Amino acid sequence: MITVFAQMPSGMIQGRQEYVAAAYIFTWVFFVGYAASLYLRSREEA
Amino acid sequence: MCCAGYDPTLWRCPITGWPLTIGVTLLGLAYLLVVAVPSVRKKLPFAWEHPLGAYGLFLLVTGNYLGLFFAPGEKFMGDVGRILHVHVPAAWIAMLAFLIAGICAFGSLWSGKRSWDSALEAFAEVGVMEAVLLCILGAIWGRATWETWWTWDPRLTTTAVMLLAFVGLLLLRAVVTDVERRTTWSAVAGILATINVPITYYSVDKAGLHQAASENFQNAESAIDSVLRWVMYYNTAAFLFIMVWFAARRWRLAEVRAEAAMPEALPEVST
Repeated sequence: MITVFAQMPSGMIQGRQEYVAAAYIFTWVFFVGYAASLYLRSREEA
Repeated sequence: MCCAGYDPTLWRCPITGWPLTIGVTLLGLAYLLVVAVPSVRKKLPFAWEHPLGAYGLFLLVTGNYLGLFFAPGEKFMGDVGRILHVHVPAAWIAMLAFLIAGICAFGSLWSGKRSWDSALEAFAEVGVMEAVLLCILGAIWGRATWETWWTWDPRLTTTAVMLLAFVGLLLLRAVVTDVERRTTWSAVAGILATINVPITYYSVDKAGLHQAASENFQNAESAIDSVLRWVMYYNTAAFLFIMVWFAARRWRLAEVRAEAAMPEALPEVST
């Protein structure tokens, strides 16, 4: 019985840090990209 | 990145938890309240939104750090749960931006003032940007937890419809050149598109792959761990103030364009 429990997964998703990194990178890319587009469009209009 | 949340060797800010999150949020809101007074705003040597944008950026840097390195991994999702510190704020702020766009649409239709129309354009565009980000972050999270990038779950489907409705509004504004028609039509389209916001918000209660709401604003109940929760709200404050900065900048741009599109005044005829 103890062996069976030891072989069972903990129920928590392991690893997958690359997805976490991708999510945060996308957030920054979007914010910086949109800020840059606002700046460029403002310059165009000025 | 792995579960550094309770590492005793980690440097700790003397103020952590809810006092910090509430404090930083109130500070930003207090600034907004102060600059809402026209006489104060006019005295500023810079555009009122810039300090708020810088503040939002500071909160985003620190909030992302907290989400990645301070908060513990989620009970079932482990490190993947850290995506929620940006995914959930993106969802809330996208819906808030669309809701404000709806109010602006109503104001534009009611008063016919140009500033409402410019604000509608600004909040709709910022909301679309946030909603696209929300969908991408959701797809990344879905792939890591559900093993799929996309599924026609009620929450995902209603979010996509909400996003497409506002994309349609922006396309409408780009196509219609007559200013009066554009103002009226986009205000009506804005009100219709905003109907999707409560539908999207409550769609999470419908059976689907997306988990049920962990936050219940009506009963102030939460199923989220306290540390994860205040870090998530901290990031939400960052998203909120950055959204206000984006919207303010976009509103100024819309105003300049609207001014340029106005027909020139006829020269005065001397008699």
